Amino acid sequence: MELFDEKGCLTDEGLHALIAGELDELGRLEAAEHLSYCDRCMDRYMNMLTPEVIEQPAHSLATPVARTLWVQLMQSTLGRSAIAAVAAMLALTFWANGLFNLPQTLKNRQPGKPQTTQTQQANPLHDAWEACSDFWTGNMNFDFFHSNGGK
Amino acid sequence: MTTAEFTALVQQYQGLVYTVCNQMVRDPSVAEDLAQDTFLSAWRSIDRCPEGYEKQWLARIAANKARDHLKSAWNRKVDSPGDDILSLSGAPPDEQPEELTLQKDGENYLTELILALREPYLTPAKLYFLGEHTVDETARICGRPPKTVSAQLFRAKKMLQQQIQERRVQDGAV
Repeated sequence: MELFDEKGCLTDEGLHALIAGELDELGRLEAAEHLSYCDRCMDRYMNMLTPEVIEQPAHSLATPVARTLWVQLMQSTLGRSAIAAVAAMLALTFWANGLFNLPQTLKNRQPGKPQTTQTQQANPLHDAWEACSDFWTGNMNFDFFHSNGGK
Repeated sequence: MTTAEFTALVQQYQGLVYTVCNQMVRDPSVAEDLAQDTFLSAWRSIDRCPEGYEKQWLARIAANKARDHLKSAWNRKVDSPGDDILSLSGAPPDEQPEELTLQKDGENYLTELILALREPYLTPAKLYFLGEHTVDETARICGRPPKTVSAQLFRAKKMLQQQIQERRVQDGAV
C-alpha cells in the first residue's frame, strides 16, 4: 500500500488505511505530519470522516475543558489580585514610615513665620521652592524676596 | 467568544477531535488527553480561528497534537536526541552517510539508496543530500514547514544508516 503519491500527498488508500487503523506507528506519524500542514489532504480527510466513522470519547470533554479553563482563569485573576495586594501593602508600609510625607520644612511651616535654618538661608533655591509650594497650597509668602533683598 | 460559546463548540466537535486523535495515536486514553489539549490550545488562540472553518481548524490542531505525541514516542523508540539534530551522533564515523559520500564506492551506492527512498522522504532527501540545498531551501522548494523537513531528513538518515549497516552485514564486513 502506498501511503504517499509522487507529489508527496496522502493517497486515498492511505487515508482509508488511517481511518481503518491499518497504519503502523511510523505511517501514522507520517500522516499526522502531512495533515498538519497540507490543507488539501486535510479537506479530503475531513470529507472521509463521515458521522458513521466519528467516535465519541468515553467521557464528555466539555466538563474537564471548562473546569481547566476556569482554573486557569482563577489562577490568572488571583495572580493579579495577589500582585495588587502586595503593591497596596508596600504602599501602606511606605506611607506609615513617612516616605510619602512632604519635607518637614513644608509640613511645619506657618504663614508669616518663616522657619528657615542657616543652611536654608544660604539656599535661595530652597526658599523659592517653599514659596512655590505655599503658592500651590494657598499660603503665598514672599519672605524669601525680603531675605534676598527683594531681588 | 465567551466561555459558554466555546463550551458549545467543544460539545459540537469533541467527537471529531477525539476521532482524529484516536486514529493517529490508537490509544483511547491518550486520544482523550490530546483532544482536551486540543481544545485548551484552541481556546488560547481562538481569535486566530477563521470564521466558519472551526472544523478544519480544530482538526489541524488535533493533528499537530497527535504528530507531536507520535514524534516524541518515535524519538524515544529510536533513542535519538531529537528531530532538530540531523547528525547521526551514535553511528561510527565511517557509517555516516555524509562520510560515505566521500568514498568512491560508497557515493554511487548512497545515491542509489537515496533515490530508492519513498515519499515523503524522497523529495527532501534528493534536494538536501544530492542537491546540497539547506534545510530552509529544501523546505521552501518542497512547500513543507522547515521543522517537518528536518524531521523527515532525520528519519531518512536513520533509514539510510540502517540500510548501510544491513549491507555491511551481508558483505560480512561486520
